[in-house]
Amino acid sequence: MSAGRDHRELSELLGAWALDAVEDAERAEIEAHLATCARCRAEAEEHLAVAAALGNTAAQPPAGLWERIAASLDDTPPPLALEPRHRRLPRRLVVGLAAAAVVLFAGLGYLLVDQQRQIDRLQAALLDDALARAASVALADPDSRRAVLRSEDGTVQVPVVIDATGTGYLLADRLPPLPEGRTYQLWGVSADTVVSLGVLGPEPRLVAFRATIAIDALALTDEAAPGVAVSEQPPLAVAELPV
Amino acid sequence: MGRRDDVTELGDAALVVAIGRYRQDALAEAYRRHGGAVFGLARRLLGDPHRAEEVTQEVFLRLWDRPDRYDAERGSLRSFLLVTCHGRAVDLLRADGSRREREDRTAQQAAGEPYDLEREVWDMALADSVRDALGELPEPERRAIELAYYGGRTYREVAELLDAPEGTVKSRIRSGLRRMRAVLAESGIGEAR
Repeated sequence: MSAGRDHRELSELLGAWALDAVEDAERAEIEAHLATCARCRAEAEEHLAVAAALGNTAAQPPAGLWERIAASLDDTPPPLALEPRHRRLPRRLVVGLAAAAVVLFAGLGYLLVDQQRQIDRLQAALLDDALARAASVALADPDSRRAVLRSEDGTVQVPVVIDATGTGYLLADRLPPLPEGRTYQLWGVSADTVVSLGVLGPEPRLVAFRATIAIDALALTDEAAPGVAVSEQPPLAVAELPV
Repeated sequence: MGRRDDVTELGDAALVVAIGRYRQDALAEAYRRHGGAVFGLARRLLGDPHRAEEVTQEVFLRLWDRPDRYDAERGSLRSFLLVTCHGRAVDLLRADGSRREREDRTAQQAAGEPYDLEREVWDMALADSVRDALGELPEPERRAIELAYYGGRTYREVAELLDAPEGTVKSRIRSGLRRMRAVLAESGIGEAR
């Protein structure tokens, strides 16, 4: 009941919180506090890990349950059959393609809406760690396509790998940062189109992108933020992709 | 077809990325790895296998709809799914009346036969090391954690059940979890990082 608990009182509740053993009002208060208190956040994460360990059992799921889940996938509208419990801790998202514009070269006039949606989902699912791991899986895969985006003078070299499913990873952390108001943008080039694969921001590191159409080459440009539909810049670096 | 597409070889983080790409085979693989654990926990909390199935289904549909909710920095996919499952099962327990009967029943056991609950926990075939870590806790801490986590109770309810001050229960849970973390870390359980 007591509104406005302080750090000490809230931190005493962290164990109970991790076990879902607080009341709703308390949970809301704790989670608001976690958003601003790194020390409590660190403790909460530790408790949560132990709580999850407690939940481990050796049970077998009942026969047929997967089939029922699979059957409901197609006609499940995205959110949300389940009332969410907002207990996620605040977290960093990878900057990169979140705001990516996927547009086609002028004159071709169709928009890859689905590609955009997939990029959003993909990017949202990728956090630094997961992204690095996914990229290393792609790098290790003999079926992935590898290339290096190079500038004419050789000063810019950006490795890229595209896995067999068309997800690419740009290892962009050695790109020089751009001044304010500028952004890197990645383009896919095929026989008759140039597609924006993502607006990367002024200081990209590891970036994921989707290459759903057949792409023969990649190009990197420096554009005015927030990126452009059609580039008029000469590419900073280009790479031809192996077939 | 030189395309290697075997989700069974992906790590959990990469698996979630594949789920983000609407790959049903990736969700199937996540279910294969973790479906039993999720169902087991739901059944432990809810008692009723049908409702446990529903919760399990919800947990995996939720992963399908919102793969971005999984944060690989915060722990394993197993942890994430179990935390989701526990929260959802507790919601159900608190939302309906079946909870009361069950609680009363368990409360009597807890009051009269202190080892029943413990045996019940053993029956769940918890991972050995987790069981060991729980077993190493001082009795009052273990009781508080078990009643809260496996019973889906709030710390207030636990305090009432044990006839102990709320503040005491809060700190028993907290110190018990800390102690468990240390033990789990010693035994190399990934969950405790």
